[in-house]
Amino acid sequence: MTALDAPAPTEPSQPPIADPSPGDAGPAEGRSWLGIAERVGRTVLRWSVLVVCTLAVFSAFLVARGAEPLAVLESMWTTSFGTRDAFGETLLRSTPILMAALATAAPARAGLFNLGGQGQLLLGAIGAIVVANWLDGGAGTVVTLVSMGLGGMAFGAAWAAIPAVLKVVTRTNEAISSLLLNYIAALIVTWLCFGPWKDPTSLGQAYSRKLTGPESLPIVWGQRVNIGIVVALLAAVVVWVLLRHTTWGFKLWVLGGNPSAARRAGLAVGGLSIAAMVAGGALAGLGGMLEVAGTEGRLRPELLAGVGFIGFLASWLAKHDPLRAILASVLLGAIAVGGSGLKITAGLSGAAVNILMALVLFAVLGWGTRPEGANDR
Amino acid sequence: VVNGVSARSADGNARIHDVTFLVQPGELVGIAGVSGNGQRELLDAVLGVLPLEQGEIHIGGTDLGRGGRPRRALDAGAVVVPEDPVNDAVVGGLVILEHLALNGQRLPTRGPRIDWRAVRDSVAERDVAERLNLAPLGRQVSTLSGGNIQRVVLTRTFLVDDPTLVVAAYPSRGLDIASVRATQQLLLERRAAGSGVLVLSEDLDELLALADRIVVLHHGSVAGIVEPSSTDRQEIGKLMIQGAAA
Repeated sequence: MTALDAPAPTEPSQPPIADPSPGDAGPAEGRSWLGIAERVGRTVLRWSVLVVCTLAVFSAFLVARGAEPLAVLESMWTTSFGTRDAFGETLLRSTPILMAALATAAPARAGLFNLGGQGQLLLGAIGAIVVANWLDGGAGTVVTLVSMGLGGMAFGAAWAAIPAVLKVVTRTNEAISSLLLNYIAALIVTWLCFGPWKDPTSLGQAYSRKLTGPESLPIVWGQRVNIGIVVALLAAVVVWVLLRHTTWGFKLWVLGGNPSAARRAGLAVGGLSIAAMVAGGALAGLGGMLEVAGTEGRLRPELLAGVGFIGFLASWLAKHDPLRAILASVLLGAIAVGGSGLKITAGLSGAAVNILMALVLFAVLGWGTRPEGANDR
Repeated sequence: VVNGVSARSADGNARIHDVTFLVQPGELVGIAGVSGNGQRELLDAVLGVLPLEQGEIHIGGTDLGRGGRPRRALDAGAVVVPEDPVNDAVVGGLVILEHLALNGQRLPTRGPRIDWRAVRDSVAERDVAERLNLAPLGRQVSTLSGGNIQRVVLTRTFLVDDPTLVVAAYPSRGLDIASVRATQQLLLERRAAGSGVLVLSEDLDELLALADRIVVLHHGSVAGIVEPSSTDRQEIGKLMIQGAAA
């Protein structure tokens, strides 16, 4: 059979960077009903086993700590999804996680490890407040919020540009440099909260003034859920479209899949690398703005603590697919919210849910990776 | 034009030194040498991948400068069959159609998207894919055998119209007899159409059959430049093994 005997795909396949292993299932097999049914069956079976095993290991941990597993899991479920407000809290917690996941996913498509989502979130929050302070309530709600979003994106992008440029110019490992920048960002936030931005009415507490009026995101659901979750979902869709259906996205796929091939094909490897990291930083920066203008309302030293890293996990859980990252972020957000009830129901530290997060990550990355190639996605 | 070029591989372990030769339009020049004597470095220097320590390379009048910028060589009209297609051309997960777009030319676009129809039309309008017995365009390249991967990189190279320079490293590697003949015929057609053709090969019979001149590399330097009509395998073999001292 020659090249023109078989129809070519109307759109190119999209390879997962983390899963370049060759497979033997061709496109024809992937399109047949039998093949689809077999794949769905295998997927359901695999994920069922994963869920059961993960919960079994976590339950063993709970038993070892003297807790009743079923009661704890039921409590976590109720805390995360049991009521309208509970689900709202899960959505609120998921919003910055999703933005941090997107900040990981875009660079990952270019083969880059952005571990600096935490710092980029914080710089985004700072950028948003800088703009809010500059406008000083003198603009309407839309102008103010859009400007704050752009400010957050600019600050996050600039923060991400540092490891990107270092990577391209000096070949510094971007994972290390972006990770270390998180600590600098946290120190900047602390300095601002204790210093120039300290709210004079805080009675000694270290935080900035409360963002109010046009500086606050409108509530769209229940008592607390603001429009930030909508923005985050839109961002995920936009990133998905960019990565899957644009020339830029294709170039990132090539770069992430084989940098040598990308270079020899004449792609601007350095420029693409910087662009991918900067785009990731901008997304995280927007996430920081959404948090500070929405849920938190002000800058605190503990703002978004650990969220950047949870977002990193979410991206890996989703294999850097922006749409899957939505589900991964809600899952991890739910686990994080569910952990808040552990102290009361089981006498456990809320940090115990970190074990569940780790188990989920290990399960998905360790056992959930399919042996097939990318072509049967 | 490759004039007095010295370059070193990225790891610094291999280098070419003071290499000079000329590939005229409508001429096919072979590069012979025992594997590991600088062929890859020469290829990378001509493509602009390796920065030059000294010397200069011109492709169709375009000076590649200090090298290190493949885009410059590609924009000057160079097309390349890489020495190691698996490591230098295959992108995991992409299908053949997508690889055909990565031929060094500007990606065909329609708005913000790649114009895949244009890529398919480019294949359909030419007989290269049939002549090389290319696998279906929807196949994952990472699932192909070495020979079929070679067909992919050959096809994408020969899909480019009127290149200034065709650089083909071991073009017949992994192919069956029919595909070898088709490949050699395509190289000769490019030469006849006025392109300069540079072929790296360890197959002396292939070089003797195709080349107008053969540059023999030994330890990264030019051991000799011979014409097939006035030499034989033994003489080239001696140059390959013993260098200019032969």
